[in-house]
Amino acid sequence: MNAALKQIDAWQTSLAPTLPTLPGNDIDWLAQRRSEALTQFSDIGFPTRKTEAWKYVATHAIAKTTPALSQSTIVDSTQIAQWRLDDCDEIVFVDGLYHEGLSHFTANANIDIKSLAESFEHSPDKIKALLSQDISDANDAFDALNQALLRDGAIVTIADGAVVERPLHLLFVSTNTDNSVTPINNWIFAGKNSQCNIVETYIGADTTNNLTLSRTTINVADNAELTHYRSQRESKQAFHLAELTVKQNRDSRYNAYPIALGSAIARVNVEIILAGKNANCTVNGLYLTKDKQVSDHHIKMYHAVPHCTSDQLFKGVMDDSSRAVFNGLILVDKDAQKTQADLSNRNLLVSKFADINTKPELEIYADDVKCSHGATIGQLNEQSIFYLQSRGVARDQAEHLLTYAFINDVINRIQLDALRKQIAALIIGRLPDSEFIRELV
Amino acid sequence: MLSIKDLHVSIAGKPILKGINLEVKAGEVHAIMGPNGSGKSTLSQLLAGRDGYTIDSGSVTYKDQDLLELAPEERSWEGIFLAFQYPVEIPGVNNTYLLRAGLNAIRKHHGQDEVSAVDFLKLVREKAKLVELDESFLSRSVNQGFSGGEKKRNEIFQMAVLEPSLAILDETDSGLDIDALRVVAEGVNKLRSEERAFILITHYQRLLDYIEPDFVHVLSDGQIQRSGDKTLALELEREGYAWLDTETDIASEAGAA
Ligand SMILES: Nc1ncnc2c1ncn2[C@@H]1O[C@H](COP(=O)(O)OP(=O)(O)O)[C@@H](O)[C@H]1O
Ligand SMILES: [Mg+2]
Repeated sequence: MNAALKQIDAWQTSLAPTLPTLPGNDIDWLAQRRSEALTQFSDIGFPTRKTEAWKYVATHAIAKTTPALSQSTIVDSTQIAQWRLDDCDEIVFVDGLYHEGLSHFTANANIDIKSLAESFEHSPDKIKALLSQDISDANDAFDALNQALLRDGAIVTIADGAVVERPLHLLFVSTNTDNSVTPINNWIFAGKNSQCNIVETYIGADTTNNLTLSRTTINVADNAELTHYRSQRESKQAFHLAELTVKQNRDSRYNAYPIALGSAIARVNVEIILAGKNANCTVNGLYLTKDKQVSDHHIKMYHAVPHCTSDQLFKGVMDDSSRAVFNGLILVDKDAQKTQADLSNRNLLVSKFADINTKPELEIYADDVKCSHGATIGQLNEQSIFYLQSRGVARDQAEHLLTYAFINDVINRIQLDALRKQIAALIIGRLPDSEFIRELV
Repeated sequence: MLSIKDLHVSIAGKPILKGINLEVKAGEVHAIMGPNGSGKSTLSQLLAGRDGYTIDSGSVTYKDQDLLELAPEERSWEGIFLAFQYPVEIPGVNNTYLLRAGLNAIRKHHGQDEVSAVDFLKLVREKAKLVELDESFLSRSVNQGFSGGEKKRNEIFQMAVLEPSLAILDETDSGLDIDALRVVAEGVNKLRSEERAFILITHYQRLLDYIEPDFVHVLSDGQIQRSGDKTLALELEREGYAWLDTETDIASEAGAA
């Protein structure tokens, strides 16, 4: 048996016994689905360099860990205080499990939030309907594994016509330090004509080394507007592999802010389907890597119907010997006339050992469309550095300042004050000369 | 204050400055004129410390120091200011905050305390008024979205705040309408003092209608071909730069003979 097969086997042996302990496993179809998914996990096997979608991201660092299922440790409110967001309702998950004591949310007619784990028992049929996706359609072994370990997550339903004033913060805290795997599955349903802001934060203390498998499935109904921030700041020993699937219906607006700062290996696989006419999607993404971090974004923007627009900007800054991968596909169906789609990926390499693989792609089957895409990879501009120096700024300070200035515009697009300040402070804090930068931007 | 002796500079192996000699004393205003490509920007950027130039021979002494040994920021702390011919846009960096950082770095270098927020605001307002720069520019990113004229005003505004000992203005007058030109000139004239020197690089004589230089130099083909007082500028205005070519030809013929 080769090493990869041995590892898959070890994972299966380690995780199979936990399946019966999962919530709702007395429900036959659910137990069966999980066990099928585990088989699927092992059949697919860990991605290799030959797996197209994982071409530039090696997974042996993950595969060799042989994790157990994460268990929730005790966390008190002071430990997560720094990660909260002011003026938001907050639903907190600790190591993948809903934590009522840390959450604060006032139930109201506009928005309904349920824990998946609790819903298995209360409304199994509803969950069955949510899980319509076929196991065999799993994107890769990790996606299949997340289905096998299906345990908890948030199910958020925004009522038709509801204008939800208070943003909702879904805060996923990792505490495990024993290489455990944390499955998370969320659903967000934005009802017709509704408006809502949702923040997903994934975070852990510096010592945590969990593997987070997260899947968020979103439906934006007719004429609804959903602004969705995804802030991934897990520890540098952690692994974070995420799926985000969005379906947009007629006249809907979906504004996404995928922000990836943490994890040893982070991967976000986004699939947005513009399935109703006049839907509009904007994406403002940001990824920062340092040390030996690897950050991978795979984005598929699928224009399935006419008269939709999508506008994507991703900026990345890679330092030290870190690496990023960006793969953005705009796919325009033959029926999707009058599509307007734009994708721009701009990268800054601040170390000569850092690296980026970027590949924006257009696949267009309609003839009356306006599509553009582009990627840039650059270093800091010498003229700008010299200009700042000539005004009295020391060279290294100028470099750090310009690094921040490069991404400042994306940060400034974050509409939620509390989050924007949090992200800005965090990013400035990662850079040398943070105090100096703080004074100049 | 500044002494340039037989300076030879090349870029990527190509000689650009071919033996520059220039003495600038405190209180003086020197105008350097010359055709495009003669090396004016090279000289001014070199003085401000830009990378990428090879000094083949010669020396530059500034306030009794070897200027060429100083980093660009150290030159700024020592009182050198370059108003760029093409000021750089720096999105994401606040115009005023940059200026405050620069001013404080200069003060720190001279063992002075940081300027207080209140004093700085007062200073900035006063100087903005001096160059008729709308206060809305203060809160914007450095030069971002500024028109050509606004960029040049911003350079003079920065100069007014930083109060350099040696200000080098690289074609600050180019592309300015007559109003903006007057504003820029007034800014310079207000700053003229016994302790301060100016090098005005210009393509046209018209700036010198507003700022009266003590000396005028003609730079051509990397050399100062002629020096004189302000009447030289008028002569150039009348005759153009064409005569330089003939003279250079004569010089090179003489050299060949
Ligand atoms: N970075 C550079 N690389 C190569 N040649 C340069 C560079 N900068 C200037 N030069 C050359 O040096 C000469 C002088 O240029 P410059 O100093 O800009 O002239 P001026 O400002 O008088 O118009 C020109 O021939 C120009 O092409
Ligand atoms: Mg020039």
